[in-house]
Amino acid sequence: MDIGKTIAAMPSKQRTAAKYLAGFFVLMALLTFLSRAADSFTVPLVTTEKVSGGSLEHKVVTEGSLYPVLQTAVFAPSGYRILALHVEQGGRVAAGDKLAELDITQIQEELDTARAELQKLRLGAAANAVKAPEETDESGIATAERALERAKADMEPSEREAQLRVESAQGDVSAARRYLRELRDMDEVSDLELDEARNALRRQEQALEEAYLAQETALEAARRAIEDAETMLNQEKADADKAAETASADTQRGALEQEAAGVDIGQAQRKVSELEVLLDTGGIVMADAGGVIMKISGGVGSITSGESLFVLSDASAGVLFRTSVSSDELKHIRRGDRASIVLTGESRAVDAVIESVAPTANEDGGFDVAAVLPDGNWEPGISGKMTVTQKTASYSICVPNGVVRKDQNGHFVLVVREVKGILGAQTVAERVNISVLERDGNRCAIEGPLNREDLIIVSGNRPVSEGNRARVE
Amino acid sequence: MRKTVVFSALCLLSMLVWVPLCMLISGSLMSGGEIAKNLAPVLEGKSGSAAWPLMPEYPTFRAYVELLLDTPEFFVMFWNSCALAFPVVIGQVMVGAPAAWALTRPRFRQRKMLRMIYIALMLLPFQVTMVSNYLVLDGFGLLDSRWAVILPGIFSPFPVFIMMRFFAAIPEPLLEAAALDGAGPVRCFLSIGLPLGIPGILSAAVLGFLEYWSMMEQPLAFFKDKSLWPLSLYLPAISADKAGASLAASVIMLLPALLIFLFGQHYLEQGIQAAGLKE
Repeated sequence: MDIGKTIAAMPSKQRTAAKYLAGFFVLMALLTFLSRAADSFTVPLVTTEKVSGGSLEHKVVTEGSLYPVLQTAVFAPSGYRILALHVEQGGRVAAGDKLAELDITQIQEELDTARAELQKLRLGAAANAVKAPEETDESGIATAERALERAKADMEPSEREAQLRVESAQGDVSAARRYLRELRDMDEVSDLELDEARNALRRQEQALEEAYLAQETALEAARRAIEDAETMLNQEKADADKAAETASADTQRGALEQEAAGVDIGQAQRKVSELEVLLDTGGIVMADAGGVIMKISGGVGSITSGESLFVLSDASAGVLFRTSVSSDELKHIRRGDRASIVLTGESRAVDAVIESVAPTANEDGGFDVAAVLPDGNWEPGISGKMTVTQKTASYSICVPNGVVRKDQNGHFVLVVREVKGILGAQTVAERVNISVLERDGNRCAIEGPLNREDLIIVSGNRPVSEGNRARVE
Repeated sequence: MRKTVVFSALCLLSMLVWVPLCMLISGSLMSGGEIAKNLAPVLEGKSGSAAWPLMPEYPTFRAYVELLLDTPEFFVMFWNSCALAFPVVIGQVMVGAPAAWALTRPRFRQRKMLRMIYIALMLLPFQVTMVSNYLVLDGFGLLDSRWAVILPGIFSPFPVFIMMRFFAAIPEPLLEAAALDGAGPVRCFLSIGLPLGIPGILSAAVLGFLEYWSMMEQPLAFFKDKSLWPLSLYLPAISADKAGASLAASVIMLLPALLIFLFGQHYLEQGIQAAGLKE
C-alpha cells in the first residue's frame, strides 16, 4: 500500500492530525538532541573510582649525607700559632702524613721557660730537704726533778730536829714530874718549893706543847715544798709533750710539701719532654691513621686551642647516612626499617637499614636518623636523598586524597548515584559522610556507608557539588 | 429556549471532563513556588486543603523549558514509551488483520469454536494471565527486554475482535465475483479485504495505541531494569519540587494520544456505525 496515496485519500481533518502527529515526533526528536547537547555543556563530566581497599604508604624523603661510623681526632698542643696547614677539608691522608706545622721558635721559647721552671722547682725541693729538725728542750724537767729531790732531802733533817726538840721537851717534862713527886714524898717541904716545882712542870709541859706544834709546822712546810716541786715537774713534762707533738706535725707537713714539689717537678718534666718531642719533630702535626679530613678547627695564623685540630674519618669502619626528620615524619620511621638512598651523582638507589633514631641535640624538635649502608667503598661527606616507605595495615576503603571533601559538617565524599523521579533516572552526585582514618601523600583511608558498587567522584571537567547532576565518563 | 437549556446542561456535564484537563494545562504553566503553595496540603502534609486556581498567577513556560531542554532523561522515557507502543501497534496490524480475515471469511468447521476461544481470551484481564505470562517469558528468557511487552501485545485478541467486525461487513457477493474472476484467497484479502477494512484496521490501531501508550502493569511486572520503563510509570512519582515538570510531562504525554485519536476519529465512528448497522 502506498502511504502517500492513503494519506491523500484521507479527509482534510485527518490529514491535519497526521501532519501534527508527524511534526510532534520530529519536534521531540529535535528536543531530545538539544537537551542532550545542553547537558553535555552544563552537566559536569566526572571521572569516578570504584570503592576499593588497600593499604597506605607513608613516604618520608629527606636529604642527608654520609658520615663515617668512626671518627678520630688529631690534637695539637694548645696555645701555639699554626704556621701552615698541609691538608684541606675532605682531603684523604695516610698515616704519618703532615697535617699542620706549628711555630717552632715559639716552641723553643716555651721549652726554655719550661726548663727554667723545672730547675727552679728542683732547687726549691733541695732547699726544703736541707732544713734540720729542731731538738726538744728537756732541761726544765731535770731542774724540776732536782728541786723535788732537794725538797725531799730537806724534809728529813727538819723532821729529825723537830723530833729531837720534842724528845728533849718530853724529857724535861718527865724530869719536872719526877721532881714534883719527890718533893711530895718528902715531909718537910715548904709550900713555896712545891708551888715552884708545880710551876716548873707547867712550864715544861707548855714547852713540850710548843715543841709538838713546831714539829707539826716543820713537817707541813716540808710536805708543801715537795708538792710544789712535783707540780712544777708535771708542768714541765706537759710542756715537753706539747713541744714534741708540734715538732712531729711539722715533720709531716714537710714530707707532704716535699711530695708536692715532686709532683710539680714531674709535671714540669713532662712538659719539657713534650716540648722536646715537639721540637724534635720540627713542630709538625701528623696523622696517626689514614682517612678523610672531616673537619679542621683552625686556620693558618690562628692559635691552637685545646680542642681537636683535625677530625679524621676512619673509612675502614664503614659509613652511616645521617639525616634529620621532623617529629611528624618520625611517626613513619622506625629502627630497622628499610630505606632507599640515592647518593649525589649516582642513579641507582642503595638499600639501607635505619640504625638509630634519636632527638637532635639542638632541641628544635627534630630527630637525627642514621642508616647503615651495605658494605662498599663509600666516600664520607657525599650527600644524598633517603626515602623511607612505610606500609600501613590494610584498610577496606582507600581513596585518592583529593576525593575527600570537608565542610562544617565534617568530611564527606561525593558518590554517583542514580535517582529515579519524575524526570527519569538521573545520575546525581550524592554526599556520603565519612570519617578519615589515615592519610599518606596520595591516598586516604576512610570509613563510611559505602559499598563495593559505589562510584566515588574523583574529578570533573567542572566543579561538582552535592546534589549536582553528573555524567560518568 | 429548549435548545439553550439542553446546551447549558451539556456544557455543565462536559465540564466534568474539561476541568481536569484545564487544571493540568494551567498547572503546567505555573511556577514551581506557586504549585508548591497550592499543593502543600496534599504533598507536604500541611493543614488545609489544596487550592487550584483556573488561571496561573504568573504564567511561565519554565516547566516546559526545564523538561524539554534540560532533562534528556525525560526523552529516554518518552522514547521508551514509543519503542513499546509503536511496535505493538504495527505488529497487531500485521498479525491481527490476517487473523481476523481468517476468522471471518474462509468457511471451515472449527471457525466458530476458534472465535469463542479468542473472545474468551479477550475477556481475561491482564492480572489473570500475568503469572502465566511471566513464566512463559521467563522460559523464553525474554524478561527485562522490550520483547516481554511487545510480543504479548502483538498477539492480543482484542484488535482481532475489532477487525473481524469490519471484515464481516464486506458484502459476500463482492468476494464471490472476485473469485469468479480468478482471484485466490490471498488476492481477495489483499485487494478487497484490506482496502475495505481500513477503517477497522485503523480503529484497532488507534485503540491499541491508546492502550499501550498508557499501560502500567506489563512494564512494571516484566521490567526489572528501570531504564526500560516508559513514561507512564514515572508520571505518578510526583513530588512537591518537581510538580511543574510532572504536569508539563503529562501534557506532553497527552499530545500524541490526542493527535492519534484525531487522526483515527473518523474510522472509529465508522466502525461504531458499521457495528450498529450490521448487528
